[in-house]
Amino acid sequence: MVSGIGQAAKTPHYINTSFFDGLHGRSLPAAIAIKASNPELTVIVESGDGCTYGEGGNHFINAIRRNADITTIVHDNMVYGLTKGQASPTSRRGFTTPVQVAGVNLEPFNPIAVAVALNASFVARAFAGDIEKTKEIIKSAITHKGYALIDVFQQCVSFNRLNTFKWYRDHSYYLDASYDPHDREEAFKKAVESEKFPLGIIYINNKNPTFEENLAVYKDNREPLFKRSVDYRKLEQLMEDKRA
Amino acid sequence: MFNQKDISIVLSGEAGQGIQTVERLLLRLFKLSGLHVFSYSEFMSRIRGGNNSTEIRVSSERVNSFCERIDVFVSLHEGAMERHYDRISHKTVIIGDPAHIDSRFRDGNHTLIEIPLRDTAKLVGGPIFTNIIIVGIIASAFHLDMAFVRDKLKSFFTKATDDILSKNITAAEKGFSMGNDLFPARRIDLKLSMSDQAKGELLLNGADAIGMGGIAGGCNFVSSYPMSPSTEVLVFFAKHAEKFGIIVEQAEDEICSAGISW
Repeated sequence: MVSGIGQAAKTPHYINTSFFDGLHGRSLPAAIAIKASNPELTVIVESGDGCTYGEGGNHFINAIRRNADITTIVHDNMVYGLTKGQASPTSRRGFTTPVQVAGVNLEPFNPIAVAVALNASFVARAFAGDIEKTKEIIKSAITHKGYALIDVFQQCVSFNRLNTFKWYRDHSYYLDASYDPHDREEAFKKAVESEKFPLGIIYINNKNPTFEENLAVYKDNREPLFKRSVDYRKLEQLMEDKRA
Repeated sequence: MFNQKDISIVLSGEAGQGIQTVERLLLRLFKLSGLHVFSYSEFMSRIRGGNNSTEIRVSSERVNSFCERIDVFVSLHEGAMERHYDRISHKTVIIGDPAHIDSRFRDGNHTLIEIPLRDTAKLVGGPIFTNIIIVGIIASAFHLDMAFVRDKLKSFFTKATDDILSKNITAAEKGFSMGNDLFPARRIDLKLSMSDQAKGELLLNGADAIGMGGIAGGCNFVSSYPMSPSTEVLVFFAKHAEKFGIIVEQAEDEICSAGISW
């Protein structure tokens, strides 16, 4: 596992697994590198909305574009919890805090729409109040080949009195069985719904190869990088060429 | 005139004019002739225009550093001398087209070798050939063999069409013959003693050395956000990535490049 900074980013500390704590917002580059260095590993990034979409927004965009076969779980509580209650990128307009005293007046960041716009490989939204369904979505994301994003609606009981457990429940619904997540235009329509937010697998794109599949180092040799050694004979030849 | 063991040449031109090509070519010619070389480039953050310069120190013995002194200054555009004004002395041999010589140096105290570079280049095929005329002039001043220069031009410009290659050779020959006329007449002789030892040395730039050191040390993952001078290292690794099993990734920003090389 790889995580950033924040409450959600502490998740790996409570799990018996190998993990790497990246810089604030910068967990995705490390996760991509871990997967690229050893494609046999299952790599999961876990962090919050502030870390992933704000601090690491550029990495989020480029992680989707790279399409490494990793899963990102974002605990989206629409507030900065670690710093005790300021606006986050996903805070709703009008949300008041001790800093945003007149209410947030920025357009909320829409991770689902951004991911669909970037033709992400797997895009889903879950609600932490529903453990069974959330578990199924996480399993689908991990087993999916390609970059998978799960935005998890999860209330902050300490610093968000607007987006409460009840608010998330009242403002979301599950996509039904007739919904086809392979249709990008339909997915985009779902992504921009804002009265009630759709839950479930919103978009799947199986068409693009993964980041690791495109790496030349694995073309003829599947061994992870740490098992390989330097070819000094080739290096010597390269140096000899510099005499001519 | 030059009794020191090494000669410092500064080529000063506009960005995009091809100074780096001249530098690479001259370094190779000197080294393969049996002379030690050290070069250092300065360039503005511009794609075209501005002033770029490179200093090449040529010596009978090993040279390990830049030097302030300029023995030969080649001026390749109007204003090329401005940035180097303080480094040019009355001992400096100034070479250039009359249009590219700063009038402040026409005081009788400076050694000017004025050559109709622009007209000669036009005769050969265009201003782009100025660079190779300069190579010919410098080769003459250092008493290199023209047949050897011709041969190395062929191996240097492997991607050029026959027409371009033959024009480059003509340009070098014209420069060489102008040099043969001008330098003895002005009693300028830049001959340095050559050795077989230098011929067999590695000719490396900093990026090559860092890259090779990286491979030798087991580097197998490189990420970088491009900017000179580190881009050359990124380019080195990208070029040799497949051969040496290295993953090379251009990062979206510098922090990503640090984070991805975890």
